[in-house]
Amino acid sequence: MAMNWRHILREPLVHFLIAGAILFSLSALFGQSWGIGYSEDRIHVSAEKIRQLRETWTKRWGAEPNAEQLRSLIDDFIREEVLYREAIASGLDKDDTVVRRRLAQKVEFLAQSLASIIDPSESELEQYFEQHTEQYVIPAQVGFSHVYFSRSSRGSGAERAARDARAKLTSGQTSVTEASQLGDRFMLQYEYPPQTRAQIRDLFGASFAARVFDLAPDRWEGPVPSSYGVHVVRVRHRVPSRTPDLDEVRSQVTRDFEDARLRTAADTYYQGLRQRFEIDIAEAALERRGP
Amino acid sequence: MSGVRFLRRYVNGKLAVVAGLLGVLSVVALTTRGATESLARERSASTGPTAAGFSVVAVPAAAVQTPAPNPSRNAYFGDLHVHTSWSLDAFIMGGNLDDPTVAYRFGRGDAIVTSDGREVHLRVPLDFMAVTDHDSTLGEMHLCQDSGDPVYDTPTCRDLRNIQSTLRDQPIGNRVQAFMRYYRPYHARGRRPSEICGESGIGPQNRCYERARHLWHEIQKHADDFYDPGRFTTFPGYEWSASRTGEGMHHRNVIFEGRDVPEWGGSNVEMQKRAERLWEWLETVCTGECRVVAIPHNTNLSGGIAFAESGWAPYTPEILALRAWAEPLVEIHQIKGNSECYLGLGTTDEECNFEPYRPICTPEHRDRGNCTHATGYVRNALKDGLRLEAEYGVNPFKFGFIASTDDHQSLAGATDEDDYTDRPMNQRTASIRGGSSDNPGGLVGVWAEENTRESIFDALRRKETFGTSGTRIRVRFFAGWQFPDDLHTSRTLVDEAYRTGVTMGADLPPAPSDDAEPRFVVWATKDTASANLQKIQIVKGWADADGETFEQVYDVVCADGLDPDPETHRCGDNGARVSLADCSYSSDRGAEELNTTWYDPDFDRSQRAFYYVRVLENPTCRWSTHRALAQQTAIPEPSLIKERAWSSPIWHTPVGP
Repeated sequence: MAMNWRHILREPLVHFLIAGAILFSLSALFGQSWGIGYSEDRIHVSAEKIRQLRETWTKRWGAEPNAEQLRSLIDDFIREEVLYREAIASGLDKDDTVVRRRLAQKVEFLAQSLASIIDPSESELEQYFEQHTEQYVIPAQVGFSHVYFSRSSRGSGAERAARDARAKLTSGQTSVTEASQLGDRFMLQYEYPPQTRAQIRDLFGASFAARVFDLAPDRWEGPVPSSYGVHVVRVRHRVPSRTPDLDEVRSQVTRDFEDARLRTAADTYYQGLRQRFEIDIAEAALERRGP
Repeated sequence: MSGVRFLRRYVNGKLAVVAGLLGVLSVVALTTRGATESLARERSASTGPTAAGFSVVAVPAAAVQTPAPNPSRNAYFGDLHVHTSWSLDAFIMGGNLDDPTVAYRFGRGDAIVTSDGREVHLRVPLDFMAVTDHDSTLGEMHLCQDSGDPVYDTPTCRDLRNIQSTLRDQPIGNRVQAFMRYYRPYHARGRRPSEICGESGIGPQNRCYERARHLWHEIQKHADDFYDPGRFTTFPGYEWSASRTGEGMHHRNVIFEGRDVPEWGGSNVEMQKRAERLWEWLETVCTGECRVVAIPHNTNLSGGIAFAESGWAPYTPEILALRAWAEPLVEIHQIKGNSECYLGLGTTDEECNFEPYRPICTPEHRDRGNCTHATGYVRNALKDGLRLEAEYGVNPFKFGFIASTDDHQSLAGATDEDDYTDRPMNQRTASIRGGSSDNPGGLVGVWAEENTRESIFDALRRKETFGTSGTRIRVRFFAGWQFPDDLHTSRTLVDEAYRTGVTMGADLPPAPSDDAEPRFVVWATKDTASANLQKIQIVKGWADADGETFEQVYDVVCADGLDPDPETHRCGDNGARVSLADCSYSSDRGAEELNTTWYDPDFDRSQRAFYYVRVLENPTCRWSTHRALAQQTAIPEPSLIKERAWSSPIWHTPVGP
């Protein structure tokens, strides 16, 4: 039971409704001191309103407004209020498509902004991580050393040289430095820590990347062709693909969860509201076709 | 109190939060989905047979090791010129679906969805990048999309937001121009439209300045957020986009290393479009740990003012020295054409007919920005720099080279010819001019110890950089007085060359003796996914005692056993061919790598000179051919291109009077 409550309390929609209810009650009770009393011919800019304007500015620009800026904020506010009252008096809020649409949009933004304010809970993150585990799988990696034989300088002899070098390396005790001396100078590096297949492909070409993942570890293998020539390769590390713990990828999961929540907030909110309405569509009118 | 009223009050209190949401929401929706799918593809690719073009991995950051720093330096590829919808023209072309976070995601390899609904990702992720949105209307753009701001409902802002629908029948270029016509009269006088900005100038009275200042902080934050040392380096930057009516562009990308970035100093509008004010401002504010480069670009479209003295900016030793400090690099290639050289403008080099963008200016061209001039080209500037150095004691055009895309849809580094089909930039050109003179743009390469801000920015500052036409050719270039003639065959070439010589972007030290001659070592490898290399050339420029300048292009090493002719300095045709039926090309021609040690047969120790390397691939299909084949339409000329790389030059300066 307690769990359920906690769950409900974390719902962005509930936050919104509660915040709304509180604000609505407060403004109904203290409307006068909050902003402008709603008397037809009087606009009172209260201390509370001024504080609000100042805070909004500060939050937005990171510095307090100066006197001139504050004065201009108040002028803007009054101007807006005057025009707003005129608009209401003229009934513009009742049947104006533009106004309706803007209001609808703003409600959506509100739902989203509330969603973005609340930090996700541990259980929310865990649930999201479980549902999207496949997104966080760490691909298999291979770390290796290699000796390079240039096709440009050796032509078809590159293959043979690579085979010879492999035999030499396999039979004797050859250090990496000695091993690399058997081959040619290489533009990239002679040794790589564990890299994903995509990373290896980007450096050596697709066929090399495909082959190197099939090689037995800790022995000299090859010749393995790359986009540059042929190589004798010794796989030194094989890191299998694995699913990380939440803690390893927490920051990424948190960001993805927040992104996802932001995307769905407006829709969730709408679906919640929609349930409160009985919706009646004049189905017959749908049948009518234009000429 | 009515519900509407409650809502309104509540909304007012939440302006700050609501404002940012508009853009963020749509963007998030696109990118998250993309990243997921990209991972799914990688997994299937790693369990099945090799699938051509499978997607990149978005590996959890901590999971993959990076190689240790390499004292001999690695080549890293990047894009230092990318626009998002924060740029006015990009917004008009593509709408507001992207922002710097989308560009950075795309650059590091995530999949994103473009404004026309296609899901795209890079074939190979970039190592580093900077988003460089236009400075001119940064504030206006953001104000007009901020529904919480009073100017949101001004006619100008409404027009801007609705421009996609109101000018639906107009080509995108006309829409951009329609809108620029609105700003031009203001900007020409260094002012801002008061309807949106209030007062002009630098300070809170200028709401557009204030908003741009705020966005400058956002730009820095995004660059910081995406910086992943060892894997993906990002720099805060922007494009200083001064355009003079009837004269063309004199644009620069201003890129900071990321430490001690100065407060927003106003755009080119506040600087009256005068580049020297930009340099002076940078010199004043970029102190302490701050480091910066300003990189001129599209000098081909500068109306010739990029590398010429003009009435409003006369040369003085002081201003030239300031310029040399602020602008150590130049962008030599991008979507809107090549800026290395132009056949017929100071050169007879046949390879200068590469991605030309505009015709040569004639008296009939009233708008000098719509045609091209000799003083808009980098090679001519390098030559003129030698002359200026003799005259003023300072060479303002001692440029290292970069290339980038200038993409306007956040598609950083998307330079593949076979993947460059119907971008808005393309549609724009095609509809304005009936042609297809855009190209997918280039990449910048740097030689750096590791993929970090410090290491890559060091490389940019010392000009150990190269540009490519979009391919991933790697090129090394060294010069030294004591290099052995067979240094290129040494296993330890790189270490020896660093130890006993200089590399791209540097000056040869003074000659050790009166009969010394420098040796040059070049070494290049192909892009693993493109055609083999055809040849390496060295481009030399020099000035004689009278200040007259010359150039010569030497083929220094060619594939397929060909040797350069001693008279023409060119190798013969290596027979590489391309099928226009399916774009397949000869894989038995060309070389995976080329290298040689070269000496200049015309070396004269008394002359100022520069040498840079150009590496050419065998021909492949140009993007327009790929598109024509896909759409089964006629193939426009040119049907083929030779992808290439340009190293930064090495300079020789004679000692003594």
